Amino acid sequence: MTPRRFLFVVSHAPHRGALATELLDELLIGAVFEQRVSVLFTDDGVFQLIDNGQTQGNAARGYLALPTYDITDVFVDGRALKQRGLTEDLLAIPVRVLTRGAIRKLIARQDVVVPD
Amino acid sequence: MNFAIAIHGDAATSESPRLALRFAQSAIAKGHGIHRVFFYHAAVNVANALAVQPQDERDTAAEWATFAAEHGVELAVCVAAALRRGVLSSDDAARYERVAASVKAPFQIVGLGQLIEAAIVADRFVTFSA
Repeated sequence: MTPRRFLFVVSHAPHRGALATELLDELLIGAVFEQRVSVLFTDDGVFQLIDNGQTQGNAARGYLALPTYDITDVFVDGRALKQRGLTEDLLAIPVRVLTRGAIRKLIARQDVVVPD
Repeated sequence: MNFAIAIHGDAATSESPRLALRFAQSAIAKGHGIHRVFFYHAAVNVANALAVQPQDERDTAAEWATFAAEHGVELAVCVAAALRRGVLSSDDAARYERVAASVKAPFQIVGLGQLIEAAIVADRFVTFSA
């Protein structure tokens, strides 16, 4: 069976209990099932890519594992970054910053879109 | 069309289990199929057999159970999310030495892989966020 295109959309801030961890588990299992997994960080979800230096409750540390699972399509909503006074160089992992128009096209290409 | 459904919120703090049920009922009524309903994040609380609803309030878990029995739909609950929230199968209760099992029939505790499998197999994967 041809792998499906999965886009996981992270839109919630970290420190909301198990939400961030559980979404990360979900997308890693998507990769284990050999699907074409990509991730988009938007809205307050962009804060999940800020490494706060803590070892617990640090969503960004979890996302460091993405390349190990061959997940390299990591996208960030540029407007969400700008609205929060953040820049790409503050993020814990390499990302591609997208415009809203590019995000629409990204979503249109997917077979499955999974929000957090 | 064959749908897979994911639910993220519990009935006490979110409308998502109820909205998802309405969606599933409508899909069946229109002749579609439901491959699996997957309860993830706080939605695992819907499967808590120990929860008691006031008599004058709707019992979403009971309605899901009835729906599943009538239409042969699988109600799957993520094991990792369920353990965190105290929704345990009898096997899990024994393994982790807890006083009792707490998952309501016909909800079944399964691995998260079953969610991804559902999204691969179904024609459409629909998520009801919290």
